[in-house]
This record gives sequence, structure tokens and C-alpha cells, in this order.
Amino acid sequence: MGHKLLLNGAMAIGPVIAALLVAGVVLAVAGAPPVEALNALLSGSLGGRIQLARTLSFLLPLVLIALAWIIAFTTKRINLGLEGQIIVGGVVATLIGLHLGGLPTGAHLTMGILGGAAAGALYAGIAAWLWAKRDVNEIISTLMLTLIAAEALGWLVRGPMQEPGVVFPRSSAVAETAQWGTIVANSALTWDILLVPVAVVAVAFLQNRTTFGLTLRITGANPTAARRVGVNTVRINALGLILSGAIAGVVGAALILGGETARMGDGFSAGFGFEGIVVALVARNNPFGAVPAALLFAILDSGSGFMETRVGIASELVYVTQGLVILFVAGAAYLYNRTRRTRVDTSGTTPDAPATATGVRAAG
Amino acid sequence: MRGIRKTYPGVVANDDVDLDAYPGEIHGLLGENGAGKTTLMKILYGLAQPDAGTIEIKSRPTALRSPRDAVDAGIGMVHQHFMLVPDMTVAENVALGFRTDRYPLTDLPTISADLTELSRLHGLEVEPSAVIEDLSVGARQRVEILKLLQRSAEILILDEPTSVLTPQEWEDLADVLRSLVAEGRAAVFITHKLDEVMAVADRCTVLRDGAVVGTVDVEDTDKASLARMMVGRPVVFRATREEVEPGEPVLRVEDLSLVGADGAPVLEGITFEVRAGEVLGVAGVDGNGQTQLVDVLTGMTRPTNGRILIGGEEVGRLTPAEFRRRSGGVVTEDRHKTGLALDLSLRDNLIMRDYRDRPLSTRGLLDPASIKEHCLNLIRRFDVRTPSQQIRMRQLSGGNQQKSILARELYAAPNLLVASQPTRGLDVGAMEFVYSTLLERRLAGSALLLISTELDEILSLSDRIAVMANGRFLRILPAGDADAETLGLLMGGEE
Amino acid sequence: MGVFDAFWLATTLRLSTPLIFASSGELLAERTGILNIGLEGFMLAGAFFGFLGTYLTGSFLMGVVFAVVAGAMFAAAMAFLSIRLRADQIVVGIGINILALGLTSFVFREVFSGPQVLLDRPAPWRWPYLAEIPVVGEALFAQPGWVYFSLVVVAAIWFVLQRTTWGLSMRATGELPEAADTAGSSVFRNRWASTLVAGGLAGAGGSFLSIELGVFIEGMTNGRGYLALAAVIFGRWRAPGVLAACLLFGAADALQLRLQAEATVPLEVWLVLALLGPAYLVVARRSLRSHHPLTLTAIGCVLVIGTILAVAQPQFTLPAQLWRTLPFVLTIIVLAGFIGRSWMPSTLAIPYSREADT
Repeated sequence: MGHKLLLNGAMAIGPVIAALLVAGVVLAVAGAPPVEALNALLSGSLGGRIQLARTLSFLLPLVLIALAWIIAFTTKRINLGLEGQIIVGGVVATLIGLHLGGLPTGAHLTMGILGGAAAGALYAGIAAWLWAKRDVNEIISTLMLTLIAAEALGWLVRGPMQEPGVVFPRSSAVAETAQWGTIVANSALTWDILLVPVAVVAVAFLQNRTTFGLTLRITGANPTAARRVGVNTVRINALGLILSGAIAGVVGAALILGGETARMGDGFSAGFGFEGIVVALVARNNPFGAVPAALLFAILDSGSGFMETRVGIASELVYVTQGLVILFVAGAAYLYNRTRRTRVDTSGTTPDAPATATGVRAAG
Repeated sequence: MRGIRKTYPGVVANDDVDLDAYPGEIHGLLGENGAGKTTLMKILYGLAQPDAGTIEIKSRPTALRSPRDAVDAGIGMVHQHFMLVPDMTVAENVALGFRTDRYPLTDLPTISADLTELSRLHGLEVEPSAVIEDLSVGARQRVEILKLLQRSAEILILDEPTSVLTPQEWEDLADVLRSLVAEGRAAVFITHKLDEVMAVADRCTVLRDGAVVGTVDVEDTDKASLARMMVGRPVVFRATREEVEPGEPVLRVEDLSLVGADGAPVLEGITFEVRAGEVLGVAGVDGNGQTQLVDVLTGMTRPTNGRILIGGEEVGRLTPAEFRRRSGGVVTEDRHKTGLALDLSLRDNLIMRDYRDRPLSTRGLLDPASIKEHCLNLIRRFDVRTPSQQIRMRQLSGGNQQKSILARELYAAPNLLVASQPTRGLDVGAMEFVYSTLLERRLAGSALLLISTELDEILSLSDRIAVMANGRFLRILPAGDADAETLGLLMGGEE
Repeated sequence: MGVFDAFWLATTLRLSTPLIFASSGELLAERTGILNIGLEGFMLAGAFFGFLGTYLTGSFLMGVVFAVVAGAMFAAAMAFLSIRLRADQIVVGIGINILALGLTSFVFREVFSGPQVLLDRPAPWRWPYLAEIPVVGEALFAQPGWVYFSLVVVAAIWFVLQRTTWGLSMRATGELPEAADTAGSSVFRNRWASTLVAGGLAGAGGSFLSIELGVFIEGMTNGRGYLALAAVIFGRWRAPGVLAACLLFGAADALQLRLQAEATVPLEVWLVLALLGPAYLVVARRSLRSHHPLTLTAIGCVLVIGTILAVAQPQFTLPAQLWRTLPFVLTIIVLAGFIGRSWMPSTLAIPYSREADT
């Protein structure tokens, strides 16, 4: 099994290194010295207390969104609307944080998180319902719902939820009782980071040690076979999407209640809903792998601003790198499958003859 | 073909294979499943590249890098699964890949005219403007052959052409083949059925484990020696079936019917019962409603009409879960598509049926220790050859995959077992295991519904035999009154 | 006609154009079995490189050439990964979108780091005589040239698919690739060709956005690639249907632009809603296969709602941001109303391999 672990590791790291190399070439072409840029990137993300705190604070959204993707993808559903589910989760958490005053700290915070989770689940539930009952492709519906949520957020922070007397598109700060305590003062690093290990272990446990997890996996691997053994596959697919949305909703709540300013601004979801997908893909949909993958992207995100001011290279280079990573990961899967295609030779029976890819659809 | 060798990861599919086919002859290529017949034919049709060896056509070495090269070299192939696009017309399917004077525009009128001419010439009746979906299997086969003739193919390859044909349709096909060959073409006929080789082939090459065992004149040989060549040891075809007194009816079906999505009837007025300790065989050519019958009986599809009684009790709304609760087991015809999750482990596949029950899980939590124990048991009892429980299902051989399904469906001793094409694609060793396992269940008092296109299988395992055609049960006869010929006539739809 | 005036008609045509380009290419690709989730990325690449090309060469035509090439280059990456390496088409598509967003924003900020660059916009084509037709003449016959060209493109795609041997072979590739392969036409070549066409056309569609506006804005496609994907589904993988779907989405977009400026939703919009709503319900119910005699109910609904609206004339409007979601909401609603899975190419998003074992 050690060999397998090594192979898995190489398959995860290889594409990342390749993408970083390409990014280095782009840097050089754009006229920035790659070594200096790397230096700036690292000192901007790991070079001090505040920098490190910011980097670590990105872990929660990245890891949890990756987990959300993994849950839905276990049944082969594509939740491209995690960003939108973050937004509605954040909106509801903000409302709870603003308006449910007078609750004790723990209770208020818990309410905020649960409210966010419920909102995310409901929002993903729309796509799940459309998929289950109306056969609407979930890729398109979740993305449309994200675009709708983003516009609605833009309106909320300029309209009904805007902080009174301010021109900025943002809400007031939520009540102290609804905020996570900070670990490093004046940073976004709050105790909500503890949710990261909890969520990783919970999702891994769910997948591997519960009947529900096995049901998800069977449904994803072969829906027809799952139906044959009595699984209501439509329901399971829908549940996978809803659970995925709930996790995204928690992220939304955490971005507000554990955010640096504890208020909701326009675009507070900051693309985590897409970046987390990259993290999941690099981790090859393994919950534990999501942590190191997320750390890597957190460093890129956190240091890119400093890199931009230091060597004058646009921080969007980070997204270029992310896109390349996905493409390289997708390509590397080919090599990976080649190494695993070998059948085991067992005496007594010959392997199944290679069959044509798809059978004929017979009459009737 | 000279010295053809082809390897796939972990398998040598063809090893130093020689094959000659002469004009005017029908050459049989015989071998059991997995012997390398299909690989060899893929190489001859340019679909796979040999690692070594040469192909000569009319004494000229010819490189076949793609089907296009093969077509240009005068090779035509009728594949086991028809290569016809279901929602296109006959003419469109023939036009596919064929250039007329109006290239790049399609010229369906010309092609239709050609087709009409050809079908008159060779007695292959087909309507060029018909949509493939609406055609019978026999008609589709005629389209495939017309397609080859329209491209002036001189070497005709037919890959397992009979599994979808009734014996009568097969006779017609053999006549057509003989007349085509008589005009100077060569035909290679791939099969694992001895009778077919004996009936039409002039010469026959036998493959085993990817290598040629020998080439013989069919006139100079007999079934038994061919069988020995094919399997490598004497073969006992008759399974030993002990006498069992049938008990109470376990499954009773009354006036079952199903209407398809397009409004056409798929199943019509099916009534039968299967009793404990009894095997009811359902004989019939593929595509006559067997798949849908299995789906209805196991709760995958709701029938339009009719009653289903399991264990004497009427089941109101049969679902797959309900079917299992009533002690039903099912072995589906296509294990890859409907039986297994190929990307999950052997262990997950073995527990797929019962993981939600004790002792494999309690209150939603899986119990790894008892799961491991359980799987170990099944692997031993059902002789699944595997290095580990964690291996991906995809990596196991077809025989071991099928054994895993049997293990999963049979270990709990179901009262009712529905088995559809349980030996499709298996070699003789695995086949024998499946037969003995099924008969063991019969002896233990289960009711078995066995659905198969293989008459040998039906005849040697069943107590009673139903013949299915066009979605209906034509007749149910005691096994003693049935032989291949009567069944064949019935399968053709003749009462 | 209130908000449904000649100006609305003109805007509808212009807003449909990028969708028509992108959808007709994607239609071809999907008929061969390739699903380009990365259509948004192709369009964005087209938008940026079209802008860049126009900026560098001063020629709109060269701008479009840049855009087509850029879209096709991204499509080539898609084709290589999903056809040659048989990678998951959806995952690759997501990667393409992120890469395109990153790359265009990055290069844009590197190249145009100064103040906002505003380019001249191409002059519209005025069709002789036709443009003089009262009311609709100006709207229909004095549009930028490629509004008309997009219609030519969709017609060409239709012709290729239905009337040529290439189209026949492409359709076969999407339905049963083994059949195309064994008939001697290359599955790989068909899929490569259709994907490159999809990329090039999506690039052209994207460049319309930036060149017509004279500016490039980061991420300016804002979901249009997904609208184009939805249009292919809603159009049931047939060229005329896809064209109609694009026009519908364009019309909704044009309408919401008008409504942003209105103080209240005008009566004619309510009336259209009163007509289309029940009609939608009837069709949606039919696609659910429940055979209730709904037509009478529908007529009743129209009459009742129409009367209420005429009497009440509700004073109602939405903030601009919410009006902007109209095309997205409409997309969801139409996809929910018309189930068309049976029209989908059988092997969409499934890679092909001659030696594949299932």
C-alpha cells in the first residue's frame, strides 16, 4: 500500500509543480524575476504573524468548500454553485448576527452557523429539486443560482441591509455575541479554524464508515446497480447536493461571523466557491488531501497581493495557476488510470475479453 | 494473417496466430469466451494494431491502421453489437462513411436506389427509409450485410452473429452467406457454438488462450473433437440434475403487461408460476422483452397491468427493496451496467445488498470487522479468486465478477432467484461453476427463473421451459417434451 | 407597444448575437459528444483577445480573427485533454473557465495598466431600402455586420449537420461512435473539428461583447457561456430550436435593461406574462406526461389574470440588480418546463476509445 500512497502523492503534486513552473515562465516573460517573486509570495504569506494568520484563515473556506464539492461529487453531481450557497449562507448568518440580539455568545454564534447551513442547504435544494423532479442539469442551475445570488447580494448591501449612514456597500457589524473569538488580534484568524479538522474527519467518516456514505458511493459508481439493491438514487443524489450546500452555507456564515470586520460586504465570498473546487480536484476528492492542497492555495492567495506590490506582477496570476492545475490534474488522471488498468491474473479464469465501449440499444 | 501477437496489460490476447481464408469458403473461427477471437478480428478490421505479425490480402502485405484501410482493402465486418445508429434511417446508416458523386453533400436518393437494387439481388428485404430503432434484429442484420455489399466487400467477417437470431433467421443468414461466398467472396465466421461451425463452415480454426490449436476441415471432424480442441479437455455438457419434487408456488405472475415509453407494448399478457425447487427456463432471442420482464419482476419498472404474487402474497407496489425483503435475488444480464459498481472495491460490491442490515452495520454505522469476516466467507464459499478484498471490481476477470454477484445474491439463500444470461461472456470453467451453484439453489428449495438465449443452457437446467417472443410467453412446456428444434420454431414466433 | 418597441427589438438582436455564435458552435460539438462547460472561458478569451487584437491592429476584422484563434486555442486544450487523454470533460471545462478568467484578467492588467482604454466601435451596416422601412427598419436592418453573420453561421451549422456527409458522420459520432469508427470516419477527427469550431465561434461571440462596447471588463461574459449551454439544451440539440432559445434569452436580457429604467412595470409586460405563464404551465405539464385537459384552465387563467391586471394596474418595480437576474431566472424556468433528455446525443461527455473495456 506504500507504493499506492506514493503514486497518489505524485499524482497530486506533479500537476501542481507543473502549473507553478508554467506560472514561473509567465512571470519571466512578463518581466519579473521569478525567484524574487517567489520570495515575495512566501514572505507575504508566511513571513510574519499577521501574514501567517491571514494565510491560515483561508484554510477554512478552501477546505470546507472542497469537502462540499467532494460530498456532491461522490454521487457524481456537479455543484458549481457553491459560491452562491456561500452567499446565501452569509446573508442569513448576517441577519441572525444583526437581529437576534440578547442571546448568550455560544447560542447566538451557533444559531448563526446553523442558519447559514440551512440557507445553503435550501439554496442547493432548489437545484436538487430541479434536478430530481424536472431533469434540469445541475451544472447550469447551480451556476445560474450563483449569478442570481451575487446580484441579490449587490442589492442587499446597497439597499435593505446597508449600514445606515455609510456610502460603502456593506452591512453593519454583527453583534459581538455572534462573532468567533480571534486567535491573532486584528486578523481574520479566529477559532472557527477548529471547524477544519472536525469537518475533514466528519466527511471522511461519513464516506467510509457509515451506511449513508456507502449509499452515496454506490450511487455515484453505478446508479442502476444502486437502484437494484434498493437505493432511492434520486433522493440520494438530491441529498448529496443539499448536504454540499449546507457545508457551503457554513462557510458563508464563517466568512461573516469569523471575518476580520464581522460584516457583510459586496463580493465577500471572494471566489472561494470556485477555488475550493480546485482544491478538491488537486486532492483527488480525498477529504484528508484537501488540507495540504488548501494550504498551498492559501499561500498563493495570501501572498499574491504582496507579490504584486513588490515585483509589479498582477495577482491574477494565481487564477492562471489554478486553472492550469485543474487541467494538469485532469490530464494526469490519464497516466494514473494507465497504471491501474492492469487486471489481476488469477488462475482458473481468463480475464474478460475487452468489449466494445457501449452496447447496442436493442429493440423494444 | 501470419504470426499475429497482441498483448493488453496483464493479458496476451493473441499469440502467434495464423489464419487463412480463401475465396469461396466459409471459415469458422471457434473459441470460447476470452480465447482472443474478437481481438484477432479487431486487428483484421484495423480497430487494433498487432504487436507483431503481418496481414496479406490477395498475397499483398497490407497495413490496416484504421477501419478505413480495412474497408478500402475489401474487408467488411458485421459486429457482434450492430454498428447502426438507432435514430437514423437505413439509408443514412449506409451513407455513413461512404462517398458518392455529390460529396460532401449526402446523396440519400442514390444510396436508397443502390440498396433497393442490392436487396432485390440477394433477397435481403429492407426498406431504406425505415428508422433503425423500428426494425427487428433480423432486419438490422440484413442492413449490416447490405452495408458490406454496398461497399463491395470481398472478405466478410461475422462476429458472433447468432446470439440475436432465432434458429430460423440463422438458417436464412447461412443461406445468404453461402450464396455470397459462392460468388467468390470469403467469409470468416466467429463463434463459440460448435453446432454453427458444423452447420455452415467449410474449414475451422480453433483458438484457445490466444493461440491457434489447429485448423481443420469441418467434414473430417466431429463436435466432440472440436470441443476438446476448444476447451483443452473433454467436456461434459449435461449438468447433473437430481430429481426434486416441486413445492409451493413462490412466484406467480398473472396477465402482466408493460407499455414502452413510445406507447408500443413491450410485455403482453404474461402468466406463469415458479415453484420451490423448480427451474423455469425462459428461452428466446435477445430483445424480445426479457430485459423488461426481469426489470418488472425485480421492481425496477412498474408494470402497466397485471398481478405479481411472491410467496403466495400479492405485492401491491413492487420496488427493488420490496423484492429483496421478500427474499428475492437477481443476477442481471449485463453485470457491468446493472450488477456491479466497477470502480468500487470487491468488498463494497459484496456487501452492496445487505450493508444496511445487521450485522454489517448498526444504526447507520458500518462494522468493519464483521464486514471483513462476511466477505472472507463469501470469497471462500463462492471461490472468488482475488488477491485482496480491496481490489477494484474492474480489475477482476469476468468469471470472478460473476461469482461475486452470485455470492452477493445467493449467500442468504433467497427463496426466489431471477437469473438472466448468467453465463454470458464466461469461459467453460466459470460456466460450470455457475451451473452447479444454480442447481444447488434448486436442490435447496429455491424457485429459479432462468432467462437465457442459449438453448443448451435452458435445456440442461430447466424443469419447465417457456418460450418468449415479441413480449409474450408463447407456450410453457415440461423440459421432457422440449428439444432444440421445437424451441427454435417457437422462438421464431410460430405457434 | 410600450417597452416592446423597435429599440427593444434592436437590443434583443444585439444581445442574442454572442449567444447565437457560441450556441451554434456548441451545438455542433455536443452533436459529436463533446460537452464544453468551458464555453464561458472560450467566450471570455474571445472577448479579451478580440479587444486586444482590435487595439493592436486598429482593425475590427483582425480583432475578430484574434478572438476566433484565442477561442480555438482554448478549445484545443479542451480537445487534447478530453479526446486524446479522455479526461473528464466537466472537470476540464471548469479548469478552462478558471484559466480563461485568470489569464485574460492577468494579461489585461499587465498590458492595459494605465487608464481605461476605450476603442471606437464598428459602424453598423445599413441595408439599402430595408433600413428605411418605418418602425422596424432601423432596428432590423441597421445593425453591426456580425449580427447578420451570426444568423448565417447558425444556418451553416444546420446545413452541415443535416445535409452533408460530414454532418452525418458527426451525428453518428455523438450517437454511436463505434458505428462512425467502423464505417471509416474518424471519431477523433470529428470531435476535434467540432470542438475547435465551438471554440472559434464562442471566441467570435465573446469578441462581440468587448468590441461592440469598445471596452474590456474583467469577467465580462458574466455567465453568458452557461446561457449558451442552456440554449443548446432548451433548443433540443436542433439548430432552429437553439436559435429560438438564444433569441428568447436575448429578448429577456433586452427587456430587463428597459425595465431598469422604468418607474413601474408597464401593463404590457404583465399582459405578456399573463399570456406566457399559463402557456408555459400547459407545456410543462405535458412534458411531465400528465394528460389533464389544461387548455381550458389556461384560457381561463389568462382571462382572469388579464382582467385583474387591467383593472389594478399594479405599481411595482425591482432594483436594477434584481432585474439583471431576469435571463438567469428565465433560463432555470425554461429548463424546468421542457424536459428534453431524450433528444440529447447519447454519448455526450463520454470519451471514446477503440480498445476500451467497460
